[in-house]
Amino acid sequence: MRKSRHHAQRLGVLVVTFFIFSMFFFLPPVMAEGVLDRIEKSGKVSMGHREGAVPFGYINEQGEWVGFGMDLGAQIAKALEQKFGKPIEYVKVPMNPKNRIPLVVNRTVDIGIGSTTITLERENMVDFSLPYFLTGTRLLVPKESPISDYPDLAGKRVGVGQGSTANIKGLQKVIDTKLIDPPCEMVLFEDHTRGFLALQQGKIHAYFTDASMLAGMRAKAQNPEEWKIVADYLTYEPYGFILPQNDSPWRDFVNAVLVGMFKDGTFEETYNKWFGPQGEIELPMTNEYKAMINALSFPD
Amino acid sequence: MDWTVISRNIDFLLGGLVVTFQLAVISLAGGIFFGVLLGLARISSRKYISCPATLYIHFFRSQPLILVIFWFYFFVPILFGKPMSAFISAIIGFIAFETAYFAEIIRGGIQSISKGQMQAAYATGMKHHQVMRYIVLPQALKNMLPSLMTQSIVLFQDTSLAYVIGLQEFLRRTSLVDSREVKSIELYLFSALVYLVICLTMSLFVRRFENKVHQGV
Amino acid sequence: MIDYNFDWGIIWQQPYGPLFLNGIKTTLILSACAWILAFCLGILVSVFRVSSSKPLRFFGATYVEVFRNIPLLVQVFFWYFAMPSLFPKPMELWLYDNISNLPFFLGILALAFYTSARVSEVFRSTLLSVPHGQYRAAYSTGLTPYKTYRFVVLPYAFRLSIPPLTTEFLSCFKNSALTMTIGVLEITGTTAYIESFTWRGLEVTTAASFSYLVITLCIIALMAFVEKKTRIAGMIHQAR
Repeated sequence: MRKSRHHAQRLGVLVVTFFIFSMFFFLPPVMAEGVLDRIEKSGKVSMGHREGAVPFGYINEQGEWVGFGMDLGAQIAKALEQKFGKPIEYVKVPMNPKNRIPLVVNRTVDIGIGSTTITLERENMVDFSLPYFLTGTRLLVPKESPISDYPDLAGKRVGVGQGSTANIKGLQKVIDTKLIDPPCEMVLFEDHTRGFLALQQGKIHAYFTDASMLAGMRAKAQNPEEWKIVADYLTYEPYGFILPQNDSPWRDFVNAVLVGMFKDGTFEETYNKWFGPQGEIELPMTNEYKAMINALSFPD
Repeated sequence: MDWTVISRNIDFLLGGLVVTFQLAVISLAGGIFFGVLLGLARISSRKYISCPATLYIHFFRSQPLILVIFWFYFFVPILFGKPMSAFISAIIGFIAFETAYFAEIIRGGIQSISKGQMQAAYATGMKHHQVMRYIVLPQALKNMLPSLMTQSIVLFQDTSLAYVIGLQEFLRRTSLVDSREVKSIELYLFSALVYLVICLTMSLFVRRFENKVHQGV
Repeated sequence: MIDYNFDWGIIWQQPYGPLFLNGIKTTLILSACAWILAFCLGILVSVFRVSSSKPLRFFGATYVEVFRNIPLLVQVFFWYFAMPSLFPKPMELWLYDNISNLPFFLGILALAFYTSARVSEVFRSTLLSVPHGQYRAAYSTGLTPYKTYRFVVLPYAFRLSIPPLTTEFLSCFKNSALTMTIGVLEITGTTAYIESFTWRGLEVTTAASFSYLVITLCIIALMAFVEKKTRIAGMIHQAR
C-alpha cells in the first residue's frame, strides 16, 4: 500500500517536472543577429556537410572529406570573401539527417548542404535555398526481375528508406489512386544500405528511392551489372540548402551565388566533376534538370 | 556458408570491437562515478537533494536506452553549441542512462547495512562521515560488487545500441560488412559469438567472485 | 538561447496523431506477445534447470547463458537478417511471401527469447528461495511431489516472483524499442518516422518519452496492487 501511494506521488511529481522542463522551450527566442553580419564580424562561415552520402559529401579512399556539396560550399565562401573583401574561413561541420535541425536551429551551421529534399512541411521549420539538384524516384530491381514499371509492383513488397518522406508519400499516392492494384506492401528500412541488403536476400522485390541514390547503391554493389534501375520518375525530388528561418539577406545572398553559378557554367562544371563520365557516380543531367537550371538562371 | 568473409574483414571488425571497449570503459567509469554521487544524493536526508535525484533515477529507468541516445544526439549540439562526434554524444547518453542504474545499486548496497551497525557505531562516539567511511561503505561495497559487475556486463551489451546513431562500433561494422558482402548468417553468428565469449567470461568471473564473498561472510 | 518555435500541435495533428497512437498500440501488443511467450519459455527452462536429469540441466543452463550474454540488438538482427536464410531457399521465399509484417513477428521472437532467459532465472531463484521447511511440511502431511508443487511451492514462489517479474516485464516493454531497427513502427520507430516528415524531433521525442514514462508508472501501480491483493497473510515482505 505504502509502495503504491509512493508511486502515485512519484507520477505526480514526474508529470510536473516534465512540464517545467518543457516550458523551458517556450521561452521566446532571442532575436539572433543576421548571418551575414556575423560572418563579416567573425570572419568565419560554417557549413554542414554529409559524411556518408556519395558523392554529395563523403570520406574518400584517401581519407579526405570531399564531395559535390563541398565544392558548392567553397563557391559560397569565395563569394563571401569577394563581398567583404577579406579572407573568410570555411568551417566544415559534419551533418546528418538526425542532427541537421539542431545544428541549423542553434546556428551552429549557417547553411546545411546535404542531399535534402525541399518540402513544404519542412519549410515550417527552416528556410530553403533555390533548388540546386533535381532527381526523381525510380526502382532498383534485380536484372532478371519482371518489374519494369509501377503497375508491376501489384502485390509485391517494396522497400523504402524510413527518412525518405517524399518517396513514401509519393508511393502512397500511387497506391491510393489504384495504379498499383492490389497494393504493394511498403517495407521500411533504417537506411538505404540495409534496404539493398534485403533486396539481395529476396525480402523485398524492389527498392524505391531517389534515382541519384539508386545509382550510388548500384555502383557500390558487388556486381553492379546484376541490378537495373527501372521506371520513370514517380515524384520529383528537388534538393535545396537548409538555411536558418527568417534571414532573408542571407538567403538572397546564397541564392544569388547559386544563380550566378548556373549562369556562368561553373555549376555544370562542378556537376560533371562528380556525376559526369569521370565522376564518382555517373548520372547524366536529365532534361528536366537542365530545364530547371535554365528557369532558375534569373536575369541580373 | 563462406567463413572467409570474417577473415577478409577481420581488421575492420576488430577495430569496431576496440571502439566498443572504449565506449564501455569510459561509460562505466563515468556511470559509476556519477552513480555514487547520485546514489548518495538519493538517500540524503535533505529533501532538495534527494528529490531531484529520485526524479532523475525514476525518469531514466522508465526510458528505453535507444530513446535516450536519440535525445542526447539532439541535445548535445544545443547544449554545447557545436556538434559532437557520435562517439562523444553516445558516451554522454550512456553515462546519463547508466548513472541511474548504478545509483540504485549503490543505494541498495548502503541500505543493506543494518541500522544496528550504524547505531552501534554512533554509540561508540563515531562521527557521521566516520561511520560511513569505516563501517557502512566497506561492507556496502562488498555487498554490491556482484550487482555492479553484472550491471557492467549489461552496459557492455548496451554499447551495441550506439549502432543507431551510426557510430562504427562492433555491431555497426558487422552490419556494414553485411550490407556490402551479404553474408548475414556468418557475420551475425560471428558477432554473437564474440559478445557471448566476452560476456560469459565476465559473468563467470562475477560468479566466482560472488562465491568467494559468500564464503567470506 | 536557441531560436526554436515549438509546435506541440504536431503530436495530435493528422496524420501524425493517429500514427503516434498506433505506435503506442504496436509497442503494447509487441511487448505483451513477447512477454507471454517469454513467460512460457521461462517456466519450461527453469523446470529444466531444477530437474534431476543432467542433460536437461545442461541444456537449460546453456540456453540461459546464450540468450542472456548476447546483446538484444545482435539477436534482433540475427532473427531478421540471418534466420530466414537458414531455411532452404524456397521455404525462405515462402516465408517472405506469406507472412506479412515479418519484422513484427521476428521482433516478437527475438524479444521473447531474450526475455525468457531472464524470466527463467527469476523463476529458478524464487523456486530455490522457497524454504525447505515448506517442502518437508507438505510431504509430512502426505502430499505427493506433484501436489506439493501445485498447492504449496508454486503458489508461494509465484508471489515471491511478482516484484522481479514486474522489473523484467518493464525491461521487455522498454526493449521493444529496439525493433525499430528492423522497421517496426513502435513508439520510438514512429518518433523517428514522424521526425523525418516534420523535422519536429524535439516535440515528438518528448511525446515518446512521456508515453514510456506514463505506461511504466501505470504498470508499476498495477503490479503494486496485484502484489497487495495476492500477499500471503503473515508473510514478512522480502527485501529485494
